[in-house]
Amino acid sequence: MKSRNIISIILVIMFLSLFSIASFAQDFPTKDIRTIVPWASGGGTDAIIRVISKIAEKSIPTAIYVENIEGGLSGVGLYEVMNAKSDGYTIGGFTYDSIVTVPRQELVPGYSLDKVKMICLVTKEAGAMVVREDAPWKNWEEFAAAAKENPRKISVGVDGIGNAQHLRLLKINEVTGLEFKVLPYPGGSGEKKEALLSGEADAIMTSLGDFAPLIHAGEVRGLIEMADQRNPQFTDVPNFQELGYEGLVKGSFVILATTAGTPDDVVAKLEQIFYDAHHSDEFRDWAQETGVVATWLGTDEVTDYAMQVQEDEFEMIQKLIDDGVIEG
Amino acid sequence: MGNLDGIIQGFITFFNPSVGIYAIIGFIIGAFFGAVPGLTSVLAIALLLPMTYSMDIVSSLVMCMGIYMAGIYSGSITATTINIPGAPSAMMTAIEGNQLMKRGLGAKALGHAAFASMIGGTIGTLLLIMVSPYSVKLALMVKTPGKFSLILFALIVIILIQRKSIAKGAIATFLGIMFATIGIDTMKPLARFTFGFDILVQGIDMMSVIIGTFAISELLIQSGEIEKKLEISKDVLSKIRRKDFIPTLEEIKSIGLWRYFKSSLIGFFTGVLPGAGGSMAAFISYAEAMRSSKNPEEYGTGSLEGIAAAETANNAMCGGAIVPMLTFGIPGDATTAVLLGVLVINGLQPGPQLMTKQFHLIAPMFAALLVSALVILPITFYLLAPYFIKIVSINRGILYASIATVAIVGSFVSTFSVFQMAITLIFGVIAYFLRKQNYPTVTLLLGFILGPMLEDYFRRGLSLGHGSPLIFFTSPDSLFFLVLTVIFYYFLMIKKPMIMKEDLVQKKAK
Amino acid sequence: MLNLKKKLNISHLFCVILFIWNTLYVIEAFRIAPPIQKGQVSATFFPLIISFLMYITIALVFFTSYNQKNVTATSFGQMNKPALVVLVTIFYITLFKIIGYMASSILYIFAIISIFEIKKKNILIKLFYAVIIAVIIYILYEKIFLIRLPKLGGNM
Repeated sequence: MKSRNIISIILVIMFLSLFSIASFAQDFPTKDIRTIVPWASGGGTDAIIRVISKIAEKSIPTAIYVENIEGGLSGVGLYEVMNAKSDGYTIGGFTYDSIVTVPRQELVPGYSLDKVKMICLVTKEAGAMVVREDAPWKNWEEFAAAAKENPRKISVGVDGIGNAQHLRLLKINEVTGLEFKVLPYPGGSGEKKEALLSGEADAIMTSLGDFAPLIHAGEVRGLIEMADQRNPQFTDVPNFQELGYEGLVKGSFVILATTAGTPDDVVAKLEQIFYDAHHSDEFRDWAQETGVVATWLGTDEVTDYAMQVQEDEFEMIQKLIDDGVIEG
Repeated sequence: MGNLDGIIQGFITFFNPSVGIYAIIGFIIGAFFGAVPGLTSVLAIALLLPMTYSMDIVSSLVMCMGIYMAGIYSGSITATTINIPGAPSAMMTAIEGNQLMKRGLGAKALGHAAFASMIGGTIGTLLLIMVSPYSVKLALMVKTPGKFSLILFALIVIILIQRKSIAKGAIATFLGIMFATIGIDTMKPLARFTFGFDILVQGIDMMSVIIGTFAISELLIQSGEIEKKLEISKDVLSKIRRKDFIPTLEEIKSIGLWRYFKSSLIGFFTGVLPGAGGSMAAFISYAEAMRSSKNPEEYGTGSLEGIAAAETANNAMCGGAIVPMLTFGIPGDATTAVLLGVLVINGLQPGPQLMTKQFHLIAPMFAALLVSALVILPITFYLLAPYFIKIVSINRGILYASIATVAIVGSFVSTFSVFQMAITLIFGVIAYFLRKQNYPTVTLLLGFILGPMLEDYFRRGLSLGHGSPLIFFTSPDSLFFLVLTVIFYYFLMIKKPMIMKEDLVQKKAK
Repeated sequence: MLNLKKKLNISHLFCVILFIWNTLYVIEAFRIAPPIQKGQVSATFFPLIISFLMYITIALVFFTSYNQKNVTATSFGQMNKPALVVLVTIFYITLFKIIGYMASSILYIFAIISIFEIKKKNILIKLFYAVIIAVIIYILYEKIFLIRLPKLGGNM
């Protein structure tokens, strides 16, 4: 008898809370929105999310504030998003690692993309390879020829072993048949810039945006991009697609997502808020100046896109493991 | 960057009151964050990030410079007065300064720390303005194997200067390195040393370790010694006058101008080397001062020379760390990493072009750094110094309750994690027992900070050498630091074995 | 005070604890991966080198601790208050998110002031200080730096 009472009370509370959420949605947001960046403050993803949320904040009556929660690659911070209330007041920034590496390596127990509702994709950055301006190779063909002649002699810096850029390099190896000496620089893009400029690494796997100032200054040259069309900011850098290589379109992105179970109209409102911010001149100008490629995918497309990326990458990683190229 | 016009223009912009005022505001914020255990200048700038977005970029950079300079300097205040370094870069100052404080010479110690910070900060900034293109080139000559040996040098030397308790110093260092390995491997996405606890995947945050080993352990030690009287009587405190804080010409002479300059150079170049940072700058300079000192037996018992060396270097580091950040977008330490974020969020991309095309935005920043060190620092010190020293006369319950709360809430604010708050406490307890057993905690922290770098450089060095460790002996940059290690070993262990045996060196422990 | 003034002292006990920790660490390392995999150093190679050095130094400290004169005898009476501080801090951290910053901090500050006091003070005065300190810290974070501290009933 008692337990039945308890159950009925729970049901009433659930009903009431549903009701309160429903009443929320009409005038969402009524309180400040918490945005979790799973990386340290000062990084590239941090900047993108801070800038867009600062612009988005102007169109709503409340504030959007950023909290940097680091750890477990990007897993620890995003785990908070997964376990927040399903009311749309907690959102998080997801990148390649959050979609592929963290779930694949099961780095954070209980981490699952099923627990989030993706709102939109705001930037996309194709993978790229850069060399010093004074490097002996003027273009990809010369670079590839040199690599073919001296397998495993030319060194390429990546982020970490088994991380995004390393996997991209392995994919390049697979398609082109080339082999490189791999140098891991897990400490972020600063470390990679240093390695390239000091001559420790011959080439670096990165995105052109990360090296934009050095490219514009004529210190570094973009060799090739892993895209299917030319980067509007670096039109002289070719891509694999146009050189006739298949399957070498890869990159990272920033996706905003909230907790799963958030009512659809709240998600739609969030999408609208970020859509407006994304399409503002302020954001576009900022992106242009800092070498970020602003791209938009709305709620309808973003989940399919992310899941497709995840599926492709999982498949590729499994193949690399089966071939004995990397360890599980 | 020998752009004299630009620099002058920068100073003119800076002396516009609406810009210059931000340097003072920044300095005050930085001084507060630097002095309070558990708060650092890195956190201050990170917390101000959202605000800088709505501010004018020149003003926000000027403010950040004030924070940076003040945050590094003011760590020495709490280090000296209550033996809790407000910032990790003041670790070495705590060792010497607090000994002086206990002997009633706290004013002297604070004065020398401020004076040295002023000199170091000024020389560091001047070097930043004058030689940065060359210093970057020099820094780029130190590659992965060289950095490995540099870190190894630092760790070996910090163990060696523990004199009587070298083995214990080594154990504490190893413990620090081991704790830092908990979490995700540096090179691969692989969880390690979680001992079956899933939550340990997130690793141990450096803030938790700093706050735990310094603030919480001191709190525990103090709570165990409540019956003990204040080391300094209130009479002594009330007799202290402003002039007691000003270093005398004689003392400065005995420390030697060359020492100040050398410490500035060490600090500046440690800053230019990406990754090393303020605690390393202070430490290397301290070790070098000890190596070349005429009175090495004073070290550990309250050496003004030691304070001067450490404080000069950590403030000179500020100018240095900015060099690679501005010229190539490579941050020199944690603060400049956040500073990079300030630039990027405001639509500036640090790089060679920033230094040429947008120099008018950067020059006021240099002016702010220089004025912070040369003018604001001594003035605020002169005005506030008597209050610094009176910290100890605050009711101890209130003092330590405030410190404990700020420290623990600080660990929450920097990580937003209750788990990291718990880690803070655990480190407090570990450090408490280590200190009770005369294990040095400074080496624990250095091990924790430098351990992951050492491993990183080691593993990448092996990749560079196709798996062979010979690369650490064949690379000239690496060889240089290995030879330096041997030289320090010779001076600290063989040439001066007398000091080591002397019992008069009662370690600061307790 | 320990009356067992034999050869072994508290310093040895400490070495034993360190030894156990180090051994657990080594076991954990081998559970993750062997130090060398496929001719390359693995994620446990470097940590195992450190453990190896650790064993040597622990042994060194252990065998030189016999005739130590200046071992600080940590009697258990001295540990009362530190233990109390630790306990109070555990409560504080546990309650921090549940009852929010303000209530938990006031309780915590009050407790620490009470632990540190030598002469008994008026409870109201202590409470007054606790509230003042908690409010100052609150203003610093919430108002000046716009950081959200946990609140009672908040959904942080």
